[in-house]
Amino acid sequence: MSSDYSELYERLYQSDGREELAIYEELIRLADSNKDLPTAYDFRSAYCSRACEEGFPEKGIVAFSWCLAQYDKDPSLDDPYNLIWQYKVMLELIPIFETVTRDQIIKMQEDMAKRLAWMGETERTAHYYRSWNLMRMGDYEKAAEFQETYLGMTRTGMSDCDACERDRQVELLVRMHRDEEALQKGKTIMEGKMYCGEVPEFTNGHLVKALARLGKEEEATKRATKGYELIRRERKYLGTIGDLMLITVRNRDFNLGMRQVTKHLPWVVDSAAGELKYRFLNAVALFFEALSKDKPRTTKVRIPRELACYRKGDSYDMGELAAWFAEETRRYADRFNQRNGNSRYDEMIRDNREIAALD
Amino acid sequence: MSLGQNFQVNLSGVIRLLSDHLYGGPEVYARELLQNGVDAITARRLLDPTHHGTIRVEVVESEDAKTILVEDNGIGLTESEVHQFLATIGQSSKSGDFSRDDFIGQFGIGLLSAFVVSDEITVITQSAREPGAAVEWKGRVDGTYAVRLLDQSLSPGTRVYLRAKEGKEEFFTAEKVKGLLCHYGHHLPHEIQLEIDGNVESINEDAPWSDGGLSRSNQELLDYGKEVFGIDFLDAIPIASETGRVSGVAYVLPFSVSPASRQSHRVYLKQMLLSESVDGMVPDWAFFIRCVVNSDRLRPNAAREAFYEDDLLEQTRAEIGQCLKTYLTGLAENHRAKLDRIIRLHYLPIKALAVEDEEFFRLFIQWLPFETSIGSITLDEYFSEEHFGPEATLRYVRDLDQFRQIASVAGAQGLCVFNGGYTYDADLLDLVAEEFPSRDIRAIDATDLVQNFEELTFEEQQDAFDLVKLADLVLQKYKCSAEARKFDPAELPTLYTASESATFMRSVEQSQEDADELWGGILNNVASAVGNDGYAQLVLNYRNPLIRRLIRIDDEKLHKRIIEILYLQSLLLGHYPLSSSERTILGDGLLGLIEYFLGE
Repeated sequence: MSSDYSELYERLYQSDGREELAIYEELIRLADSNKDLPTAYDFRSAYCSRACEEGFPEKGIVAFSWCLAQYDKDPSLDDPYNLIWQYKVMLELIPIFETVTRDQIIKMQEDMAKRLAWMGETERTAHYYRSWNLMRMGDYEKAAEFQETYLGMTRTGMSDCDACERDRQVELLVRMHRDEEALQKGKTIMEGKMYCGEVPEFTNGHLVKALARLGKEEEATKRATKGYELIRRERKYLGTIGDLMLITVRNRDFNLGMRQVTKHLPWVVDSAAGELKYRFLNAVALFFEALSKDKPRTTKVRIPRELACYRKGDSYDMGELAAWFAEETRRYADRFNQRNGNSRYDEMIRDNREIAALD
Repeated sequence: MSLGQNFQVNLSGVIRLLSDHLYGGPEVYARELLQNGVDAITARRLLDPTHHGTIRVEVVESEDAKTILVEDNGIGLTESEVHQFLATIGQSSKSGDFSRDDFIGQFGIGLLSAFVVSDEITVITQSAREPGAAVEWKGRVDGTYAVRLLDQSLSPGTRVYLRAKEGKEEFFTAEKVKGLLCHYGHHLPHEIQLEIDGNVESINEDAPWSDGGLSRSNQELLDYGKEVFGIDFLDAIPIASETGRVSGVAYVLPFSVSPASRQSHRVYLKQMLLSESVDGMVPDWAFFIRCVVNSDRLRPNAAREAFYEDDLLEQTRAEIGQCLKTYLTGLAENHRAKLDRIIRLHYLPIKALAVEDEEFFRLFIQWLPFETSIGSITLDEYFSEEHFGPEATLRYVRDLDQFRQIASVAGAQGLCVFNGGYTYDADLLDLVAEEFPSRDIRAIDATDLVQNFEELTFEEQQDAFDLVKLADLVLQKYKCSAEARKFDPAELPTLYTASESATFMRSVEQSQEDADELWGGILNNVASAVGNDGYAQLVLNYRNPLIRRLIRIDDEKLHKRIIEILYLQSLLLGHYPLSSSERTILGDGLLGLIEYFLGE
């Protein structure tokens, strides 16, 4: 390993977040320039995981695509299990880009299914992702059918952990408004008996909606508060932060809401994942709407310059701001609806208004 | 269906499981026996607060056997308690009459750990609550046990006899036993005596937190830290938490550590060593701290090597964090030199805290160092009269890669650009903008920097017109535009700048070169979600003599070759990997130039 690598490695160890990604990018450039394919592969593979973890899925997808193409040419570059684990992550992330077509999602899912079959795996994992993608694309009934099928099959080494699988079940139930069942299913997660690296972080976003709809105000607030503490520093949870903010709006907690808007709105600027932006922007729109009803006057807000609604001087009419963010939300909803061939994203906007207690 | 059957438990299997997976190693037998003794004394002191507790350990080494006796003058057990507690795994005597908080142990598995080093355990015990004959319990590793009443009554308390099993003799030597007792029990509040060959010695030592650390000087605390961790720490800070009933000392590391590094703290539970490597005792941002602390309240896990992650621990951590914050604030007011030293080493955790904590942010922000194109600088220095003055615009780039592209060129123009690519720095600069709205603080892109370069005069623009036009045309296929400006250093003929999205697009194109149809399409669509805010830019430096000579040459073919080579050179200087079309220029362009010169 050259001294260039060593120096960068040292910095890598000291870094995290965007800095860590930038160092990986430099390592990749160095390995590419040296024509050092195995090292370039390893760096990209690590970069892919870190980029997704840090909330830049688009960077992860580009790196993964390169790895996959190299692996297909030379399978000795990686353990097939590692590759498929990364493929699983990609498949989870790909539907959150509204620009990726339904056909591409299905083809990608079936490409992974073929690879799994080639490795001697049962169809359980393939069904798991079929259910996942159908849920994200709004076909809840079919998603539930696939869910029932994979839950009836024996788990394999390629299955997600119990907590993640339970999270998916809770999410689908909440999307289908089967709130009591969702809370029942999520009980072990809520009690802290079932958890993993991303559960209850993701699950809290679903559970607060069910709790609010069932009028369990105190529990919803408690879960939203604790949930927000867990994820407030992680960009990959931008969508879930939006979900939790619905409770902030419901409680008309304008102090907390303004802090949340100020802290996370800059993340929207350099986020490429439409679904996460949609969920957060929707919560911001509802927040400004609630604020405009309660305090109908000009207010100072820190809006990033990159957003078209930015005004010099930072003073805004809350109603206008609410309308701008509602329009942005709608823009994303239309794109997702068009991609998915249904109107689930309109339904979600209506659901969120109800949860935020706005008529 | 009858449910009257009991599971059969293979005790030796359970013990193997405990020793291999639950306990850190055979040494923990000493910790568990000490703990039982301490808990027995605690129980007796609840009946009689004036009782003076003692634990006596005797090591007997003969040629054919090595034996240890651990004796306490605690509460002792009655015959029925012996059946109930010593013969049932998981049944703890500490779960009944008394509050669990009073005791160290609570899982009912402590005595089992002795089977890791001994095939047979003999316990002789006399209850302080019920006078009568003493009770003897003999348990064997195969799961059998016998209980009998002795003929006489003894003084209250419990004696545990262990004989070393084959292969575990090393844990029964006088030296080892003394080492283990000191390790686990030197700060215990009861007297611990060790008897070897008739000589009795005490192993107790005062803990540094025994009176809130008040009686110890800072130097004494530092000496203690050196003894415990083998590190010459920068400073020692007494810490406490009411919620977790924690007291102890926090030490400031004399070297920088990674935010991802594991925090290993030495932690005592009710003054008995729990572990030397407990994680999560201090807030995440305090990764430059090592602690020695005692807690009288936090709940240990069954392996007794960490605490349960519960609300109690979270609150305790917050209170310890508050102690550290108060310490740093105190330094800011009274010991600036020491604070500067700490900031130089540990600016990362201090920045991490400043991002999270408004009060701390206001106090520290002006002293924190930032990397800039003119070197490391604090905001205090930047806005001072001798630097840029209080009205200066503060420009920063959010991305390390962008900073790398422009730092040297910006520096050469005397332009100070802050690097917001490092962890926490962009967040902090955003907060500065929010906190001090009158200051002009703006995030810029590498391409914005070009706007600060000197414009060409009308005549100069005319002079460079043909070259710039041609360069723009030649570089179009590489999604790069050309422009001429004047900038330093004059030796640099060109500067390649790309915005974050243009750099991302390069990586997309690179992946697309090998991607199949499906992935090629997916990459296109993912890229369209990111959006491209424009081309990369090649800025030709009008101050550079080579560029000026190039303007004078009247040979379009040669111009094209040279422009491509200059473009390549600026990519290579920026460590950009070349795409396949760019690699072609490297071959064709250089060969073409060679041919051209040979032809001349």
